Amino acid sequence: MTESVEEVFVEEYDKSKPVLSIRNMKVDYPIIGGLFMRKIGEVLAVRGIDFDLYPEETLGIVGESGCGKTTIAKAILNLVKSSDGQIFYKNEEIQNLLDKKRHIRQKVQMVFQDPDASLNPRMKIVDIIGEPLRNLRGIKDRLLIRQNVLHLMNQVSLKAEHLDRFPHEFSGGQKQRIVIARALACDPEVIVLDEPTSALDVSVQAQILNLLQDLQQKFHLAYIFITHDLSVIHHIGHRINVMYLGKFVETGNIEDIFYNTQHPYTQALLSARPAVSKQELQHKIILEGEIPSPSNPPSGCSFHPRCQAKMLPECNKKVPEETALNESHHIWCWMFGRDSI
Amino acid sequence: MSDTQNYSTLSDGKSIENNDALLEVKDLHTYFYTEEGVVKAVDGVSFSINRNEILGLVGETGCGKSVTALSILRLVRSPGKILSGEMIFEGENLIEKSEEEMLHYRGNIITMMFQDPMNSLNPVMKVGDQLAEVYLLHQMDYLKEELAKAQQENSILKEKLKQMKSDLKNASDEGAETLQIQINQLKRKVKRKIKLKDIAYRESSQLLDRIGLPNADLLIARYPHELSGGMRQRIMIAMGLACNAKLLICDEPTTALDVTIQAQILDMIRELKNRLKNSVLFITHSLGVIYELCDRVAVMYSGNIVEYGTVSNIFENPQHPYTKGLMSAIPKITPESRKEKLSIIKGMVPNLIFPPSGCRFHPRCPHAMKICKEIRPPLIQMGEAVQVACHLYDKDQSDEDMFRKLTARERLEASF
Repeated sequence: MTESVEEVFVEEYDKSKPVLSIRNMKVDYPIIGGLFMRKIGEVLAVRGIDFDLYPEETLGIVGESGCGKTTIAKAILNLVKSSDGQIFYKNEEIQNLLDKKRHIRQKVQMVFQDPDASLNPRMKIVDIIGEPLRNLRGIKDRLLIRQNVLHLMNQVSLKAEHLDRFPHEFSGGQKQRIVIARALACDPEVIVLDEPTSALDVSVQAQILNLLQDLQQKFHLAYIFITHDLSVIHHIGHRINVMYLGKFVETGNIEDIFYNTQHPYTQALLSARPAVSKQELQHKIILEGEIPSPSNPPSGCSFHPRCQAKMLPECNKKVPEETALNESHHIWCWMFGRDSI
Repeated sequence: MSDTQNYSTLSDGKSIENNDALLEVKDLHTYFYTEEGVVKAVDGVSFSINRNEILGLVGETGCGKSVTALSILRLVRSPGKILSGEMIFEGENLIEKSEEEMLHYRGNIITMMFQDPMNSLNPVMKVGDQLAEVYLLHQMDYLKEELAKAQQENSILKEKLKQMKSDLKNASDEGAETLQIQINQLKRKVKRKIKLKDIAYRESSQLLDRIGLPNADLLIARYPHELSGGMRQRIMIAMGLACNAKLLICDEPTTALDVTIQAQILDMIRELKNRLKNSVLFITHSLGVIYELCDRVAVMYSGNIVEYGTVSNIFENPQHPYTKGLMSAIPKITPESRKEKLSIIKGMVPNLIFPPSGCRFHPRCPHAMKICKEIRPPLIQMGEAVQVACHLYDKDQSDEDMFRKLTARERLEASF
């Protein structure tokens, strides 16, 4: 008896096994138009990405707006349909199936960017946080739900008197806490955080980031943290994927990305961040132009029209391949790929 | 120099205030009379903007940054009201101006750029029309001058054309052919009539060219929704620059943009300021943007300025507990910073209908003393170029009862 319990425990917290694996995921949105409202083209939002998410780690996905960060999150949660690839939750295929697999739906939760838009203004907080308990866990007893909700609200430092209030009575930071409490309701293992702090002030952002770190340790959560703010991900993240136009351009852990930056895009992104002290001031790499349209991506390396590094003949012809600089640090750039060919 | 100098003696031109001020705001109060009560959005704000400098106004949501900017342009709408204060712009008090006189200031002399470019551009007007409108409204004299010039040129061309046509009748066959080609070329240049609007269009497309937007001729025929966020923001900036305003007020112009685009826009604002020699009031909640762009900064909290001075001094050595808290709440990119937790400012921004007594920051302040609860600290001079509103730096701290720390219980009471 005790053995089997231990086995379950070991399987649950085996840190070397990924909790979520994504293989060659592609998502495209159709462009509808013309006389008969037919599909006249498609936006290639995500163009073939692979990554693994391990338990109790924070994986950052960084990139400009329109690069497909949010689409990845939505595709994992089956809020949009992915057109190709596989998503595994602990060896179980869940691509486009999450609707049917409720036991996994509980385990993967999401926090959206705008807390205002993710709370129903006509529902009380107790109903908002209690809804997943009722729907996914099947708890029907109202008193039990209230108790559970109170416990969850304690976890995110909300007070008991907030239970019967409506969302408009809260500040932005408190609303985000409510959303986080709702995500925690079903005891998840993975939380996808889509820019959870970008609508908040810095002092409130610091509170939420600290809260997320505490919760991660307490509940052994794995985060996919989507953001455009590199300093936030430097603080909270363990591994980072830098994304440009639907593809990863550089992946690695904090040391690789921040202190051994290799890809020209990551370098530009890091230098564009406004500094707050003398030590952080550095030469600015100002990228010309804007992110191209994903409906018609440039040929070859999609970054080549804006790239300020030395141009190689392959850059605008062939899509760069993945090159491993070391075990954790991978890069998609011809400057590095060349030697390996 | 004594440490107890307050603002009124400073503005006589002693320390950080010099006589080169373009705009001086003194003790501005803007309240909103709502049904719930009087919202004291701006409560005694004083600062000045010198010529050819960028002043940053930084603070959290709801601290009165935008209301201050709107007050300068007298755009505060009912139920808001500017109660008292002075706003001296080049020797003239803007508060005493009539509405007609203010119309002359708005756009022409002081321009404001708003946060959300999508809401500030008219979605059913082409970009060129909107830019031309600015010229037609504010730069009539200049346009008329240009129009006269253009008409003169046109009439010269017309004369030339006439001359050539009469030449054509008398010319030989060989000469006629080349002359005909020349006439055709000239015909394209000559216009029957030049309107004021044509000049306005020409100016707008030149302006877009100047601020670095490619294909300006095509761009002015587009609608705002066809453009990306960065381009829209640049068009907003172009509209602000169209009048060569002496003071440009930017209300969070880069908040909705990506860092890479933000870097482009900040670079552009800096370059334009150096070229046009105007002044900029830059409102933002991002301390990083302030550090990169501004010369001086005023930190606002809950309708008051708590710290005011040069950027280098304030960022390297913040004095006010709120500024300190704000600085340490920003995640930093250094190997050591990851190991520590972010420090936070406890509590929340106070309700501006019932603001805390005394220093408005005292319920959240780790150093709160009894005096903080009772007396509102004035801005006092600290060193060469910084002013701080905090009782911690009072010279005369002899009254021990007043300068004792709040007890835990008093602190709890204060936070309600």
